[in-house]
Amino acid sequence: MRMTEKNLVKIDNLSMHYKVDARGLKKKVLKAVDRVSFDIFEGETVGLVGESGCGKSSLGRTILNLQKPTSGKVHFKGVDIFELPGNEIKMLRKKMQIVFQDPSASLNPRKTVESIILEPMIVHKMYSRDKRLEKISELLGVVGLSDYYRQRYPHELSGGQKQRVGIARALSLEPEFIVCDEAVSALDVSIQAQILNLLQDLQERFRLTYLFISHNLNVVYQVSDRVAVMYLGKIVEIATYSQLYKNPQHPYTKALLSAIPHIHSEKQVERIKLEGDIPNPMDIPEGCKFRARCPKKFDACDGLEPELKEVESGHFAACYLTPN
Amino acid sequence: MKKFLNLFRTNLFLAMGIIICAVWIITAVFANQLAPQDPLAQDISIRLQAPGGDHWFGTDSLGRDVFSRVIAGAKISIFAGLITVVSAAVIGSIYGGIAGYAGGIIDDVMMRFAEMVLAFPALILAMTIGAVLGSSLYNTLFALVIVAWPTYARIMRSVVISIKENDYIESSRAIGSSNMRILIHQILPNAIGSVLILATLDIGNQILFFSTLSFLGLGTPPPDPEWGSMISAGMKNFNSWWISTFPGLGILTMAVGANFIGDGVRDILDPKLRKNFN
Repeated sequence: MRMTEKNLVKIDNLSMHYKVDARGLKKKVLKAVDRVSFDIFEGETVGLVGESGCGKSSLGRTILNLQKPTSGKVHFKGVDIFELPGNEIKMLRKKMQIVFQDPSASLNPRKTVESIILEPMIVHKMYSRDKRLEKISELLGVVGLSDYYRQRYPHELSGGQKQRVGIARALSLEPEFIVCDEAVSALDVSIQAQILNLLQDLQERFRLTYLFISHNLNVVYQVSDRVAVMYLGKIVEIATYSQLYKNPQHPYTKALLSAIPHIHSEKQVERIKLEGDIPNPMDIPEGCKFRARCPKKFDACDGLEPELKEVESGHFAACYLTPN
Repeated sequence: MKKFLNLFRTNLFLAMGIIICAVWIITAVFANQLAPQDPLAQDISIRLQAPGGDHWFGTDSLGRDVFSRVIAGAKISIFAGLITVVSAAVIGSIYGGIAGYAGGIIDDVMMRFAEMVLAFPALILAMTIGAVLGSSLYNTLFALVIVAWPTYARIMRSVVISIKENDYIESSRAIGSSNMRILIHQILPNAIGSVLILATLDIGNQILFFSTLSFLGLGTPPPDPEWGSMISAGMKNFNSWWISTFPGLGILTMAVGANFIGDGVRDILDPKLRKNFN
């Protein structure tokens, strides 16, 4: 794992609100991503964790400009990606790619492996015809599949193989930044490890930067340099892997960490059980979003929503209880 | 040829469908040569004869040879059925595909318009169009297409809406594909099956609908043989079953054959159902 201080992606006050049931009389707004800011540096892996429905995937897809945000900006290499004209967006797509959660759904069932990997190169008019076919062999080799699979259809492959094809497709454009949206969640544990290793090898080899989205803390720990914890559309804590593990600040992070099972019982910290339900995301009360479930809530939590504060160098948390 | 024989082994129904339809189409093309007697020649002295002897399928109320009339009728009936279905399927699929893919207000406006057409009683709408444009074969076909396309548009739209939610569409957008490319390369191959099945089932319907219009005086004028009008003529002579049974069998076999082909083609297009052709 490599870290440079060169900023690759800068997410600035990004919000993604969905209008729910816009045809009804009462328009409700779902704040899937709410004023999120953080940076992703070149060559690193940022893990993004949070429970289902907290806005992880929405954030990932907005960063890739697959949907227009409600407000806020994303800079990729210093360029505001939402202000780009159409032809330059296409160039941007080359640099930023995505690997999806469910490999069976992300590969077109009517296409062979070859044409799935070929498509990006055709769209971007890369290489000559023969070179493209060569390139496919090369890419298949890179992700650990043999040429035997070229003429296979997705349903003839196993989950892990399909995910490898998905990765090869993403790599065909030679991107610099890849969003892995729950890239291993649909796979068996042993296959998960293989794919994670593959992703790490590829990072070394092609100097890739990852945003690794997962609900599984163990997986995120295995690959991430830094980890961002998301709750109901907000980043509540962001820190390096070791800072977060040794010194979690936000009560939500602490609860998540306490839920990781350990083999040796002496290492097992006391499990913090969160009471109550997640508030209705369409009707989030004022103040700290976590306070309904927070074991340490006090008066200040009802007031303004806490902002991210720096606890130690590079470690930010959004809680009134963090030491200044 | 070897490939075709192999088809019999791997996909019997498709092979049968191809044979049935090929026989009918050849019959239609060479109707004038194949008909043993003049399909228009009347001879009252031999009217309503049962099948047998000189007249394999019997004779109708004017003493015309039913066998020759079935062969001659294939020409117009199959032509009308195929043209209507193909045009309606192509127009409806493009229309519905765009509506479903675009979504939102475009979808609403486009589909409300299609439903408006659908809301008219089909027969009256076709009659009106035929009457306004004047009675001719092509005007009648045009009227049939106008009535038929919204069904295809609705099917295509619903299929496209369910397909476009898939991750592979998002994935295609992520690599920078244009909307046109996504529609043609990603959505169409997955959506075509449903339309194909509807279209092949629809051929029989359209042949019958065309004859209804002919019966009402739009389309083919009375003496010309045509399956649908032969069936309705047979209903007036209910005891002479052969008059309407044989053209009815013509429509049935044509529809079944087309359906076999549709089914088989869908199987070939779907890699999961595809049998091995080697």
